[in-house]
Amino acid sequence: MKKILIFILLGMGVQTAQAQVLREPMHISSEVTIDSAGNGIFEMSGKLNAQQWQTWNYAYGAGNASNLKRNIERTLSAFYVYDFEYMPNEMDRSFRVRYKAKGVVQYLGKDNWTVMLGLKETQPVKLDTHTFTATMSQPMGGGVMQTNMKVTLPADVTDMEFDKDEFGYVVAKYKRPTETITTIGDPGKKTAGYALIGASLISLLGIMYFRKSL
Amino acid sequence: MASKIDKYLIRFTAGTKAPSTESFDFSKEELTIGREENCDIRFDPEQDLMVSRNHGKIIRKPDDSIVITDNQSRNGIWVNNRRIEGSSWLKPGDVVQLGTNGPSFEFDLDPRPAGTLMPTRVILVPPSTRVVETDRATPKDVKIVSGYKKWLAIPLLLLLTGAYVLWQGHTQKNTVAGLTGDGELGVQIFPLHAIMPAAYKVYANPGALDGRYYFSKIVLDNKGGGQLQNVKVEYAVPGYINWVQAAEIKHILPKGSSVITIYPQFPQKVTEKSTESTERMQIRITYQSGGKQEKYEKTYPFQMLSRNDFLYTNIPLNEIRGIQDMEDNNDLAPVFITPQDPIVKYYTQHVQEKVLGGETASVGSDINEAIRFMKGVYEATRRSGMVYSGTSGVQAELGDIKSTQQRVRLPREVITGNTGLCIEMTFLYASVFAAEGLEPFLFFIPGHAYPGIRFNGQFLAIESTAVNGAGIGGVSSADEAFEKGMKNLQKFFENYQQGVPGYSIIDVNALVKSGVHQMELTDDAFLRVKVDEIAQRMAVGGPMIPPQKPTVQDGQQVQ
Repeated sequence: MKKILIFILLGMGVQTAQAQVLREPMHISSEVTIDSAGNGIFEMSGKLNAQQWQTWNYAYGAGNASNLKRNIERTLSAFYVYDFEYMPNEMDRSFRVRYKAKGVVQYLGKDNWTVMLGLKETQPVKLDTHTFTATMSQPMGGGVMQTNMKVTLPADVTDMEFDKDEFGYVVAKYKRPTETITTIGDPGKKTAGYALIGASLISLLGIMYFRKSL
Repeated sequence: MASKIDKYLIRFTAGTKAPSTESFDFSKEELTIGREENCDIRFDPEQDLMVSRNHGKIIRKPDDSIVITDNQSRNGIWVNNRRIEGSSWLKPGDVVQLGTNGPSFEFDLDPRPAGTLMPTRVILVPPSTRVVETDRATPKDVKIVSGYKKWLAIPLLLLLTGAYVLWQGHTQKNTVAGLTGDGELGVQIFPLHAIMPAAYKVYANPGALDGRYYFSKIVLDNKGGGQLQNVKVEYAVPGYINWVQAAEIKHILPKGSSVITIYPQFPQKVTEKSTESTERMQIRITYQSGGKQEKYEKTYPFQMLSRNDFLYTNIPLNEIRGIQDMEDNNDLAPVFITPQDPIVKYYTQHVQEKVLGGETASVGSDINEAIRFMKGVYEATRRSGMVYSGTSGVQAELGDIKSTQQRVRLPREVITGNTGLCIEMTFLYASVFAAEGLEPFLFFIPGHAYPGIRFNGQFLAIESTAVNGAGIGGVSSADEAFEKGMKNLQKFFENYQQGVPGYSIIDVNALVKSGVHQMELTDDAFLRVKVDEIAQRMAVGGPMIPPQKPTVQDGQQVQ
């Protein structure tokens, strides 16, 4: 996720020489929702100051959102991203980008899953059994970019824990019932139960009807 | 007892016949009750309407015990205020009522036998022939069950069983296999249609620019109901790469996907490629679905350019909308900057010796020395008679398909050929700057490019094409070239900071650190001889004299 933001900003032309553009911290919020098949929905939003907004618009505004899409597609080389939505708000200089991604999570077998989102130099915090957040602060062109990310995994996730790979990227590991499914109730037994109760009523009526001959 | 009892006594206590008493000879085994004319205990057929025509009967058993039986009358028989069902024992003193508010009478015997002074408990008696376990001495122990009631056990049992099964049906936990059936593989391939051999190290490196320049991306979707297992993705490029496994995925679940990006390891020999060709990418995917081994194969063509070709963009032409899109591959420019090339190093060594006066040319922390080195490189090209080939150095216009691809001479070729376009001379300068340990930058503006450095945080630039550039008319001196470069730089930043399209800056060192590595080039004795010849021309005029007055002071912003 951090990679995406860096490349988006690079796409804006925010490089070394652009120090004055990003003196103010740039706040970005992002949310990732992972579904049961391992695909994800990414949503990113930010609010820019006047100068940042001007530069942003040179890069991605005025019908050039495809450039933003291209940057995201290239940066997330390990995913397949699609269904883009870009919602700029000129009035308060904010934007929201939403897209879907395939291949975000890997299934390792025996109900074990792992997710990598390109997080580095951050310590994720578990909110509940299936949700965590991470906050990143990244120097960027003389300013600071602060990112708050929330990741929501499927609700039946258990044993979520964090680790780091060989390159220091955060890896979230978790379990969720995959190869076997526990269901509550048995339709066959329900049918049999109702049938027996029905038979009971019918037999009771029969006995009452024929009671004098019994 | 039979010998002592003479008669039955019926004392009417309510109804039309009250308070009369009727007696019947005890020899009668049965007294019928009703409104029928032939009934023994007969009630008024017009007024005692609660009484049925054949309401019931009082029966004397062989052992002289008395039983009253209801003949399935409409309103029933009550003995001591309890309704009987079927039959019931009757004792002297018991009050019998016919219907809820019907006539009643007290049953008695004359003489009343001893031990029968208390009213009789109502005890249900089955049909007469089925009386069991009677003990008249202790009537409360007698268990007599009505005929149909035992059948009620059946619906009760069914009800209980049904309730239990239903409860289980709602609460039972079942563990079932979640992945059943066959998987179905769906494949999408997103290839690069053309590659630059000069960038072969970038295409091979997943870490280069965070993997942005992948050669091919393969999206595997499982469209079936079961899982795909042991999915192996292999590829080959005939003539260059034998079959290589790109990835092995143990499981792809139903509705799940896996994405494989291919970063091929092309051999170094691609840097010797002098012509463009069409090559083939072969992809083979093997996997298991429903226990069966399956295979998918695909071959697609791609263009492999020559080692000198620089492709400005991989964006399809119909998607290009601005100069920014045209420069989409600018981050790959450093692959043409070759400070490690033995020929470039040899050339740089001659520049230091012949133009800058040997060790005095070394660049320390003095910005003026850095400027002198930049001017020295220019002076070397001017003295050697290097010719600027033309103004069409970089793409300038949209819609010109040829401008997306340009044949770029390598720095060693620019040196030995003694000519170059602006982009080629820019790459040469950047290579020499980097060989000297400086921090090279490339500045792109619409239709042009020129080299520069960043020294102690300050940007410096020189107009490399001033050796014979149409832009400034004729051959300029090193001072004029530097002055022109700095003016260009000032104009560049004015536009760049406003985000004007077409103005971009390439930080060569940063990109090299990100994995954009130059191609491997081997030493060449023939080219060294050529460099020696050029160096002789460089030496004419002797070393450049260090500037008397510094052009730029330390800490001063140049642009």
